[in-house]
Amino acid sequence: MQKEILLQLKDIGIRYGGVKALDGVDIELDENEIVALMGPNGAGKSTILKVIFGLVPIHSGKVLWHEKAISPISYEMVKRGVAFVPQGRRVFTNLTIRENLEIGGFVVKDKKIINQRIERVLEIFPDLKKKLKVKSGSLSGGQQQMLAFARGLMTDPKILLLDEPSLGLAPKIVKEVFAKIKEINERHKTAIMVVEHNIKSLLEIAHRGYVLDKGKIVKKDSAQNIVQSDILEKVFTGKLK
Amino acid sequence: MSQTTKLIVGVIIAVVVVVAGYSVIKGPSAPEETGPIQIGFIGPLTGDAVTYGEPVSNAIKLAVDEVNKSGGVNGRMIEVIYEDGKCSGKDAVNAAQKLVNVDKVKIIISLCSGETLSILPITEPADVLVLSPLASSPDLTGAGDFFFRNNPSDADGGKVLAELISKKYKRVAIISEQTDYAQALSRVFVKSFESLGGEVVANENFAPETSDFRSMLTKIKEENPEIILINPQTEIAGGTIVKQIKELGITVPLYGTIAMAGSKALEIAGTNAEGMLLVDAPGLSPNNPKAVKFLENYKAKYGEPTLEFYLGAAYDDIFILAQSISKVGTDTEKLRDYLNEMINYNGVIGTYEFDKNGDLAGIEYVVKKIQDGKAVEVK
Amino acid sequence: MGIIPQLILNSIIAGAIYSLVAIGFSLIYGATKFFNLAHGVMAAIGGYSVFYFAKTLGWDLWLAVSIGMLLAGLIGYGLDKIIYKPLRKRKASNMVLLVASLGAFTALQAIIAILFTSQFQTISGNIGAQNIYEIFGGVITQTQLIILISAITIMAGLALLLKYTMFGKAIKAISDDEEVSKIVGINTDKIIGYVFFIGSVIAGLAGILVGFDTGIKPTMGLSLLLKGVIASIVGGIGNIYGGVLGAFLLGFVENFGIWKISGEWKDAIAFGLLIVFLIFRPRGIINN
Repeated sequence: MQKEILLQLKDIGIRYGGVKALDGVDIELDENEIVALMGPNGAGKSTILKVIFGLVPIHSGKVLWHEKAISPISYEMVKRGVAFVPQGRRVFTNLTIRENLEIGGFVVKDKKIINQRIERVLEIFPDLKKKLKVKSGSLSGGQQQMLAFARGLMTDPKILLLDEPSLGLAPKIVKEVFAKIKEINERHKTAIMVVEHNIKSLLEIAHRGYVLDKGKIVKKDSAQNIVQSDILEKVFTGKLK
Repeated sequence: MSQTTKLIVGVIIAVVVVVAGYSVIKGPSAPEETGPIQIGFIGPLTGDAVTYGEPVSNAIKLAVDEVNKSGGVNGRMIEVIYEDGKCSGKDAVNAAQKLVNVDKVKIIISLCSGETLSILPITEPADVLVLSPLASSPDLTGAGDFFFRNNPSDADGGKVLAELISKKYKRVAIISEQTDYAQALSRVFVKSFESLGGEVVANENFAPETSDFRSMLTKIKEENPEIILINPQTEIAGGTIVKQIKELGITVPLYGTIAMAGSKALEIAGTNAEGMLLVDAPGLSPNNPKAVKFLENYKAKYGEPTLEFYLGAAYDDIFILAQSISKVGTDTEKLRDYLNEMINYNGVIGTYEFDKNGDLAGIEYVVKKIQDGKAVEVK
Repeated sequence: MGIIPQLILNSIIAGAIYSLVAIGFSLIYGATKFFNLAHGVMAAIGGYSVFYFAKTLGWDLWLAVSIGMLLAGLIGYGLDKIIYKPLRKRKASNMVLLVASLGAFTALQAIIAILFTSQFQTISGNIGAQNIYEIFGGVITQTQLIILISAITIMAGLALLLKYTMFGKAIKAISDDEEVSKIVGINTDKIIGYVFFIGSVIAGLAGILVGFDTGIKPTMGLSLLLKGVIASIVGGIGNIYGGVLGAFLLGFVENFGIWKISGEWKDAIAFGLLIVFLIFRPRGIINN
């Protein structure tokens, strides 16, 4: 079955103060799939997510939405149904859990729908149920990450971009996080693009993957093939020519 | 250096040489015995005290126009260089430096006490003649060899107020602005009043630019004075104080110093000022033909005059200078001697002379009352 | 005993005015994280608009007040759109924004002085007889009562806005983390523009009320701004409730301070309070 192409990055070039952060990058995200972005630090993985969300100015190349070229602006991407969960458990520390979730649904005009979604999201993350009125600044690291994740789901997105969702979390929680990612993809048919260092867990649930090194894509393949190849070892030990 | 740099440097040098050469050839700006007689002016042309600074400068302009129209002094026109002293010592010093060192004037008219006190250390060593139609601080008595004023000293005003008030009251409150003028007046008043057996139950002082006097007035109210003496530098502060006194429900009689007679003070205070008594320089006498003519001409050119005494005194200053210069020339030592010896000058403000300290002799403060929004002399 | 009720009333009135300035200032600081010095001149714009439309042109007073507030809001909004936003887009540092706001403050103040002269003006038509009310042994004028009511109304209204509307929560979100706010779909530039508008309208009102109470002068914005800044810092910068708390604390300290110390120390006391807080509790009363 031909999958619908949702998002494409074509020949994207990004400069950060004279250095090429991304060079000639081609990425594609189709419906229903989980795509992994992997590579060593500074390879440009997070930058790709930021490009999609309009948080970084594009030097060259195009971003295509449903095969039409667009100029990504954050709040417009949200309206299109893309949600971004940035790196580092970024929650609104002075707002309660409930308020965080409400703000997550900012672009949703109907209050009833927002409340419904909050219910639904709390089913996926039941740990947050008890602390709805607590300011999110006082939650544990794991709970904050859950909250950031949950907040991202408030717009019922067609595409979810996750930047290092397991960073700094205890191994037990990490397992949970990846289980949730799989659950969301299977139950809600959400396409998910994940940047991760925890490659083993990620490739267990991903369909396809891209490996980056120094701003360039060095391998594009199915998750299985990537697991079986030695590209990752080469890239992480710097042995790639 | 690159070619461009050389070119730029060359142009700059050329410009400097041309300008310097031009100034040298042209000579000093005002040649000695021909060309206009330059007089400097330092007074509040901006700031809250502009309410008297501007009318006084208008009176000076009027006088200068008249003198120049009738041929000037010994054929030379009078030219006034106006500098804004903002009624502040600091700004007056800057103005004086400019006038004395750059414009090289030898005669200055200065208005506020604060301005005058701070410029004398600059003018005296340079033998610059200073006249003031407005400065009233007692500290100015004998303060300079070359300093003369045709405005009574507060030493008199403060005493007159003390004498007036002590006739009826024993417990008074005084609220004063923190300026040289107001503080000097306050000191004189308190000293005189206490020596007459009175008690100053509250003595509040406020910084310039204050607009909320309510807590100070509340303190004063607490002490139950029989009257309150309002002693501001600016009319705005004075008028606002009167307004806030009434708003706080304080009903004791009010006394004021000269600024309270100004039109801005009375405008702000409104009906709250009715019945206030103050000590002021006398109004210009309707029996004095010079005064009548002056007021007419002022009104025609600048509208309704306020604080007429100061206007008249400033107007007189120009004519006194014109008379003195025509008799002894522009050498300031000779002018100083002339002014010291001058007697019975018939001016707009009356007939007077300068005493040995340079103070005004022959005209004294009178008591006035605010009636129907105007300051009216009381016998 | 007699003096204390009056001092309390004086403190509350002063606190009310300062809180109006502090609220707008805190709101803007919270959302943009920079000290908008031009906030002070919004008060002057409000006051002078009423002076021009009501006193000079003779229009209806309520209309003039509305115009004054609106004009202040629009000019504040305009400053953001024309100067601050482009600078923010170019990632200008807070220092640059501060200097820009100082420039805007000076320029606008100068324009007012040119149009209206530097002279002090009054805007209340009724000179002399003002209604006076006795409350708990102290006295306040009608204008002061209006000041109090306005301040309470605005504070309550703003509190409701922030707590219960999506717009208010968006402002809180932006104050918390501007980048995540963008990520969540908030058009932060638009909302910040509205924040400037609202904050400036409130400052304009403060200027109008001060005008009715004492009078207006082109430089009136500076002292109001200083008091607003002190109140905001003392109360906890970026927190609106802190700003209100700081404002009333300032009002009380100023007025009770000069009870035992002479009146000329009023400003010194205000700055003394600021310094004490900066040394011992720099985050303010409400730690953010």
